[in-house]
Amino acid sequence: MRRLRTNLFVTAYLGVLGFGLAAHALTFLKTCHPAMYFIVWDMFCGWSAYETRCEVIGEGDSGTYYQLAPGPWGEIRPFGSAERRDYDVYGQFGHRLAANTLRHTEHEPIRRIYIVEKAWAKKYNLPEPVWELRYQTPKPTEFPCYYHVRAIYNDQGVCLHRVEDWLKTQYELCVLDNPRLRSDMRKGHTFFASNPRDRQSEVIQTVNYESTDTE
Amino acid sequence: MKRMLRERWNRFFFTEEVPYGLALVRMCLPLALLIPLIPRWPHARELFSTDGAAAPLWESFGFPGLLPIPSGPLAVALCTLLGWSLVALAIGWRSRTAAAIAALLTAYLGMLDMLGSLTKYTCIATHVLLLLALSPCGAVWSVDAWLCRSPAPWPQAPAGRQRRYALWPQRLIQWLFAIIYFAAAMTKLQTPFFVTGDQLYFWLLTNVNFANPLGEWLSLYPPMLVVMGLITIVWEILFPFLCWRGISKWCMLTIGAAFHVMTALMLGLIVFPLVCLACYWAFVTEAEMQRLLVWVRRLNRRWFRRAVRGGRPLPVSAPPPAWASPQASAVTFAAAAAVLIGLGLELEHWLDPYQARRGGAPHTPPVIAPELARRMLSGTERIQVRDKVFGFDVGSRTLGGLLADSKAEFRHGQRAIIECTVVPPHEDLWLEVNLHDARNRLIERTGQVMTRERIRSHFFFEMSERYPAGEYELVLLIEGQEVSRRRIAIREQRPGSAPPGSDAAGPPRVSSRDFDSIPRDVTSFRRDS
Repeated sequence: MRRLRTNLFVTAYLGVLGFGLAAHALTFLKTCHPAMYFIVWDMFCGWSAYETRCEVIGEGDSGTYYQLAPGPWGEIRPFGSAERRDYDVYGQFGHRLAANTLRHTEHEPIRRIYIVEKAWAKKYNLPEPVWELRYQTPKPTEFPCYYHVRAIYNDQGVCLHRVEDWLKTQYELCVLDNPRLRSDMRKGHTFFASNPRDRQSEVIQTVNYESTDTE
Repeated sequence: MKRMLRERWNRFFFTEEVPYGLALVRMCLPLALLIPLIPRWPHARELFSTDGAAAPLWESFGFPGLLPIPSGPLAVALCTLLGWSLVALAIGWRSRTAAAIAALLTAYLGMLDMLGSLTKYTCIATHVLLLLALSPCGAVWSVDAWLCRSPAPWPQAPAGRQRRYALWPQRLIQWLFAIIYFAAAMTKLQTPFFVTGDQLYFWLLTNVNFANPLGEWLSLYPPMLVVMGLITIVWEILFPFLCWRGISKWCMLTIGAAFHVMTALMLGLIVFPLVCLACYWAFVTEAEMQRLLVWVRRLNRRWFRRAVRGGRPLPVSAPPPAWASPQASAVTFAAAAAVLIGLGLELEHWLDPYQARRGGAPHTPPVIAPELARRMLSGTERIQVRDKVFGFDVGSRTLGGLLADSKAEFRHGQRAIIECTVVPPHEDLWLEVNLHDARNRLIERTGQVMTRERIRSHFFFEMSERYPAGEYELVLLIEGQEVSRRRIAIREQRPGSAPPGSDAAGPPRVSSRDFDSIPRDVTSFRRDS
């Protein structure tokens, strides 16, 4: 009986691992349940040539801006150099970090909460000696950082505005750098859509295909 | 056939051995997991509770409310309990209970904070802790073994003194790693630009992990990354087939150990490699452990000139006191956990992260400079051209589609290869590479279209005698604006060497009729100025 139970467990365990492998290989049911995270092994599945960080800022009634993450009690760098908020790649929890800071601090009434992405080219991460070997020029002391407002929340935590992340926005801008494509897109009409990833969201965005807020 | 399969299954999973490998996993894995737990403990309230900013995994998957989020004190208690269970597991005190608690809490606390606590090493650890909870991992080298009055078995002790157990938990850990590596290979094959080394290249430059100076230095040698990437894929694919026994197993494990050490040195990962290396002990069999320890003892005697102990009896631990029965051990274990949780709650209360209990002035959020705030909130800018260009390099040979050397001096008859690396996202671009003489006069112009999906373009310059010996500059222009410059020198051909145009002097000059014979991504449009 004990051997039978063990055999059943071994078979079931290998079956679960095999299911995770198949789900990963076929990109099928990969995100159907949080438990899938524990059986799908897709480490280092992406890359980008730009480093991004997340800023959470609040705008007070007086027009003063406050840093709402990390909280004034100290930052958490969970895996090395980046702060905890920087791992919010889907921009889902920024408002919660802000709400926690506001709950435990004294401040004027906050009108808006902004989730801002900051990005820079990874080549500027090279240390100075390596930069000089690589580019044969001194490393610039200042380099451009790009900012991108990812989401805006009101004082009640209701999302007022939300767009794709900085990198996707830049891809979109590059693809849209095509007069024929833009002309074809304008033949469509506006419609309402909510983000399917955010199933419980109150966000209703007014969008067309060119939803990015660009200069 | 069926019988044969059953026999093989039974031999594979139910061969009985003394669980030395599992004991070593039991000792090493919790120590690796304590490394991330200790710095998180003071922030438990913020990371895992309703009194902080928990970031539950289930919300990200669209299952709000799947599991409860604990209150602040409960989160601190759970975090303390996890720490205690890891320590208990490492010393082998109530090993299976400790492993079960650790598995449950590692997964639960990890899922409560998907931003700063949940990673794939959390998942690997959860699996292995679960399997340890079902295994006799505390049968040797543990407090449990000592309390059970079974003398701590030394691997050289006679076989009859040691109890053996079925191998299946160890086999399942081995299967887990086989599948993890195979899946990781599939991920790499599905990831664009892994085989070209670009993914690894930019991971080396990423600053989200710990310091990785070796990785930054290796980024100067991209062809090496291509080779390392290919070796990694081949190793990960072969692992499930060769990791089971014999020389091939040790080859796979050695490459694996080197791979994980390199992830620490090149990518700045710390806990992930430690977790994986700790679990590698599950691949060690009883016989191998006996050989290993005999070898270690011999080495120890030779190097440290210890007294020869061959004639002495093997070390046997002292028997436990009479009151230390397994039942008393269970009660003490629970009592110690309760005391530690109480101490943890008190300490966290005293630390008072939100400054709510000390009676001082409450925290205020820091103010951001108005100029910076205005910059942050202005619209999204397009990427500047100089940021899109990652490299403008000159060399003379390629390897794996990448420039393999860096060269600044050419002789007549040689060919210069110019590699322009433009990182995504970028539009379809017209790249222009111009040759300027020492007085900055344009003397040669060449260009090509770089479509949006490409990262590299190669240009070829034949250093023929039409360019007098001297100093030159190669200038890269994108969208009409100068982006980068490289200084090169052209020298006379060495006396006695073959004249330009002959085979010895390098390939003939690229011309329009050669276009079809050159790979598409390295053709260059050339027009004389």
